[in-house]
Amino acid sequence: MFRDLWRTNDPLFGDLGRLLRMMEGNWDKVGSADLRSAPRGSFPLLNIGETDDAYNVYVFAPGVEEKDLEISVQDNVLMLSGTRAGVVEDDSATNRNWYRRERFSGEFNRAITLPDGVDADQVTASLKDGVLTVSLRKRAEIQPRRIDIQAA
Amino acid sequence: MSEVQRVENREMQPEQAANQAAEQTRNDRAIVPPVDIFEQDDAITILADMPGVNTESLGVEVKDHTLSIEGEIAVQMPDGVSARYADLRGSRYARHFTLGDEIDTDGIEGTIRHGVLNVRLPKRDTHRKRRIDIQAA
Repeated sequence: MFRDLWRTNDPLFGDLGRLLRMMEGNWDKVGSADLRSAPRGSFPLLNIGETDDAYNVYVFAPGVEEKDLEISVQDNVLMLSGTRAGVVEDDSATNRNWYRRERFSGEFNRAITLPDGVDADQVTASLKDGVLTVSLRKRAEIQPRRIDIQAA
Repeated sequence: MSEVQRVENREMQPEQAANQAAEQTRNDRAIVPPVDIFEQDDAITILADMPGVNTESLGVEVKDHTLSIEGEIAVQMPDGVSARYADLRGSRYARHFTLGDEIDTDGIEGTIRHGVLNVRLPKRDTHRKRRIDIQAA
């Protein structure tokens, strides 16, 4: 589903526009950025989806267990923090020659500003296969409501 | 069909072709998972971050001296969800490594836990590290 964000079929500029936007997306914008946005390559990565009644935040935090994660909501800001342990250095770790160390380890922090109207009392979170799903219900008054039309 | 409609139809075609091309590259775009690789006396170990991949959606295979690590992100999403923001754009991971002759390809084991893949590549007996004692003359 999130692949759809790549769709850039602007008929005016076509391929050139798509290329320019890809390039723009691949470098940090220097001009003006959200205070709480994170640079590329941050840990954990996250995606946000929206349904009629909730915002779902998908946090990609592989190798992080429940006890190492802390989530809090303050007004419409969701804050995440935690620690990701490095590779275990026990008895089996003797004579390791490292060739690559690309994976993140250590403490992390991320905050996400959500649109207004989140019900802070109705937030649920679950962790599976290294993906934390946080579901924040919208306040009832901003959920779309179906209006029945009555026959006159 | 009026003249106007015919013109519109002709204009549509290159755009549709571009859409199809964009669709193609989007499907082919795989996320490159970050890895840790270390070697020990008897094996080489690869750790790869692949959140959202489980045992069923994981594929580890060796062919022609190439180790392929692939996985589909299998995250349950509710119906009618629309994307608002995405750091991770894609639904598939893929990364490939070239293996030397010293790896015992039949003995390769892979496990995935909490979205971290652990692949152990054992070395053939003939290629294990042996310590050479230096004798005092």
